[in-house]
Amino acid sequence: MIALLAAARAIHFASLMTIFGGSAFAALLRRAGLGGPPVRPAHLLFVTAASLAILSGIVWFSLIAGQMSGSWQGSVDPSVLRLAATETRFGQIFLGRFVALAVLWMICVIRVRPDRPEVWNLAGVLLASLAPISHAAATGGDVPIIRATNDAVHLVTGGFWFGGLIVLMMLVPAHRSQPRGLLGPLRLFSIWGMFVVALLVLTGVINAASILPMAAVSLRSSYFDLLLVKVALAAVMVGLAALNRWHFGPALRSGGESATRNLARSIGGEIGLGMLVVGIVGCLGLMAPH
Amino acid sequence: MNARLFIAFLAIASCGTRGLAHAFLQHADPGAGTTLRAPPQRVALSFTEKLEPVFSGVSVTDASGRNVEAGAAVIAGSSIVIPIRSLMPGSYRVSWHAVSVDTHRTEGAYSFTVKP
Repeated sequence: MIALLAAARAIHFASLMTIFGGSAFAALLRRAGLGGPPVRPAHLLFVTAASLAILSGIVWFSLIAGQMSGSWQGSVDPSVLRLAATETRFGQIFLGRFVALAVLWMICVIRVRPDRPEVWNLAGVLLASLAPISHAAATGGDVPIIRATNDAVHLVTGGFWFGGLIVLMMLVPAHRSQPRGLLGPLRLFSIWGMFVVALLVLTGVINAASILPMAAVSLRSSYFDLLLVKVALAAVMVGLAALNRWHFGPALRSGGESATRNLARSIGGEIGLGMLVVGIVGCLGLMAPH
Repeated sequence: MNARLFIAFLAIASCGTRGLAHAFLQHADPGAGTTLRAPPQRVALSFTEKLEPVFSGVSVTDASGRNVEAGAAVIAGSSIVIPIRSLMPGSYRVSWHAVSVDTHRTEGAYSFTVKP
């Protein structure tokens, strides 16, 4: 059941990150006059992601209700589910999130353009709304509000990186014969990517500064080991991003299918690593650092 | 800062704060393993995180497993307080379960003794 819960969390994160980042980057592309992702695949992607976000959200909520009750059977017990939904902060936030998820799903289904503000705004709010039920919310005093805000920024910037990469990948097939056409989108993503990664690191450092004493006593836990794997994967992602920006990107100028193919492989690798990172986040959220 | 601590810093920096909140018992009155000359009127537990009252609780039992609570537990913030009946000399067991507001469940038990 823990594995299912971790998977549900990871799918939920990944789905919303795909919609938020994909939509936000599509909006930036349009604003810059660089076109956008192909309409039909983008529509299919967003509808699938929105559907997965709802399904994974239901599984996540049900399993957490069971976990809180002390028995996995509670996950299908109406009285436990009702208590969890109405009497806990997690449940109350999730009730609101389900309404927002339903709206997002309808917006995606009725073929609203993927770069519309309502799409990325709603997906961004849904991502950020996971912060108040994180560790930030569990400690007392005023600091949790700052931590929750910091956590929300961390989630949203991570979402932009992950979802933006997917839309960038969707642009590749249309530019196989004219690789130069990818230069603009790649440059735009790199500029925003640098800003986003800087924010990711900054928000992460703020988190670290507040909980470093806890980390210092947890260096030998499996939690810490998994964190190290995640850091390594994220570092490789940054390396691939740099490779795209300063090696594969300039190679597009000389044209040729191999330049496009190399870029596609690199972006694909980055997306794959991003999925692994999100999968690890799904697990870490269920583990104690001690 | 040594290298390992620096790696830990980077690791936590990349993970955000999710997953770090489990409500652990921070302070208990009477304390674990203590021997009291006078019987306590209540058991008070303090945790490291805020609690969800509907899914958190405590029970106090004597050596034969009978409950000795005198009323319902009051759960507020990060603490649980439960009144107990006037205790006879003997050993008592406090069993608790706590769900932090970020939904993580922890549980535990400890004993204290009331001296004759």
